[in-house]
Amino acid sequence: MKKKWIGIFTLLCMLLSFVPAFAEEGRVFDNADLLTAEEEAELQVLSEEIQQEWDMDLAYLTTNDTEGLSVREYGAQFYMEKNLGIGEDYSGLIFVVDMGSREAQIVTSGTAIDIFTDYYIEVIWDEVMGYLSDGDFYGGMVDLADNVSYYCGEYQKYLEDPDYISAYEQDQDVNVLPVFMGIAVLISLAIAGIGVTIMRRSCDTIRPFTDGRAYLKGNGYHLRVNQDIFANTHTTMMPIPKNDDTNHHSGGSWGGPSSTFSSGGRSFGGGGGKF
Amino acid sequence: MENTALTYLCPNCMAYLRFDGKEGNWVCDYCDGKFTMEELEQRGAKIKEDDYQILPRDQAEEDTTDVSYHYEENIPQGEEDMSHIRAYTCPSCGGEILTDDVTSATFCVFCGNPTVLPTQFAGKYRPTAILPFETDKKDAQKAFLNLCRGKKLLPKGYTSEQRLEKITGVYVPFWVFDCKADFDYHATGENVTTWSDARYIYTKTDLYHIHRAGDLEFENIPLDASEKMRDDLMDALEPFRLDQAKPFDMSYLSGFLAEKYTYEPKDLYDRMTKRITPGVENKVAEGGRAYQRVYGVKCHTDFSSDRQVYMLLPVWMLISKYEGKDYLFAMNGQTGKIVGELPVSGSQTAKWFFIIFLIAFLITGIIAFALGI
Repeated sequence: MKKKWIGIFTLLCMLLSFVPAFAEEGRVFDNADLLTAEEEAELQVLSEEIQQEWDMDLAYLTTNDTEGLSVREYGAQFYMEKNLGIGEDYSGLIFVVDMGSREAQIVTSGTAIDIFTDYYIEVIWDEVMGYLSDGDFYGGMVDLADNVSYYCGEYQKYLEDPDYISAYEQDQDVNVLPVFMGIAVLISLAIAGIGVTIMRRSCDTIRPFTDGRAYLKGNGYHLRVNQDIFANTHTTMMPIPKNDDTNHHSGGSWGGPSSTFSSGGRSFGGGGGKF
Repeated sequence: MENTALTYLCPNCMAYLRFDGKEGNWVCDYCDGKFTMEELEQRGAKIKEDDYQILPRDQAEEDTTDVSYHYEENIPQGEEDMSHIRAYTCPSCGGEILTDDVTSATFCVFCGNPTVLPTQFAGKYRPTAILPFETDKKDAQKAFLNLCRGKKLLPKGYTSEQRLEKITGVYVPFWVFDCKADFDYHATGENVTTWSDARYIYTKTDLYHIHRAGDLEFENIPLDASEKMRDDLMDALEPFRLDQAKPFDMSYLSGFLAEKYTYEPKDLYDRMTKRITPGVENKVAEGGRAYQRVYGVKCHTDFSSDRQVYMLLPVWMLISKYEGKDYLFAMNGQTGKIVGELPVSGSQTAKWFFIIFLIAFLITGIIAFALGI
């Protein structure tokens, strides 16, 4: 209980900008009091592990009110005000749970935007949402931490191994099947259509014999004027498009695009939804 | 480039000259010649006479073909006595059938109606020539069966004995025209060359004014004079070797039917003009310099015809009704060339569509599997 009051006090102070981020070491901001002290401690440990292993910040924020901001906006503001993130690009994630609107958002920053593309955010969110819907906030957060750790590891493998096939690519491959089926059906329909049309056409052999030239007399073509006069010329120049291939990774793509939004002059990614 | 400023032709190379307003000279883009007004006049440079405009492809005007014609009716008359001719009309379709007094018509070859009524023969023109049949009914029946062979979409039982019996030899009336076409043809010819260096792709477009004028003489253009016969079908039956035509004689009609003309030459001038106009343009475009593209064709042709011959040409024909529509099979009675339209069964079409679809789907599946998709 004591922790809760400290949490609320912290948030209040932060929002009013009286005291700039004094809990710098803590990464669990349970302002809506959804976690027990033990759970908070566990999450703090997980966050520190990820920090050490992957140079990736991971913070948790729960709240009952987002002060009129959208949940992700609120998370981004909090992230900046707490000066979260590692390195020059403030790499890290903050997981915001707003009990007021029953919405949660994973907000990413820096390298995390590259790693947690829309595709992976969706995969993770699908898992985490299950926990949140059941009221198991701690479970959801631990799951998120596991996923963050896992994908940071996978991303590292992707960078090191040019032949690495990401989960995203595998998924794309699986998706090829229905697309292929669709194309095959279309091709087959077209072939059948053309085939039947040819068969129908073969039933109609009425084609004109000549455009008239067949009845031209042997020496019946006389030219009075036969000129090909050069009229004009012009030359156009078109620049050859430069082929700047910035994709240094030959093996394939990591995970598709990441959609971003900006807040306070910085760029954030991520995603989430209602639970 | 302002095309309307191109008024003179280069005295060196005959290309169009462009007026360079800065220098006050006439410039040839082709041979790099430069001329003042005085020089041009001294050298007797030709002035562009026609109003044809050379324009780039996207600004070019649509192709236009305009045609005029004048005909002089000159129909050699046959001298055959027509008293031995027997005429019938069909009460159903109004078709007029002729034959000699030993042959009798028992059904209408044009619509299949089983009764035809004898009438009095009347007509302004007598046929001058006839092209006798060189094939017999057996050939025609065989040809019909050949045409039907392998046609999967044909309704079942279409090639019955009964139908084969109805194949009839008919002398179809034709007007055979001689004609002269006087043409004046303008077009723009375009040649494009493309090359590139490290930084740019260059596209050079040369435009030429193609001008051809002259005349074309056509002879023996057959046009069927029967309203009952489909024009496209009769056109498709060609060619007939008209040099083997004989002066008309009643005896050729024995065992065959003939149709009386419904069109006089004056009714067919327009159709003849339409038939050979594409030939005129294609013939003109054939020769001369080669271009990658020719567009902006403006062709005026003046047709004149001074001879039309009434001739009977041999055709084996069979009209079948299927689902309310007439289908015509015809064979050139001289050369054996077959044309025709066979009925198509809807259920057979659906069946074959499905079969081909399945096979194609299977094959695409196997290919995909082989490629490891």
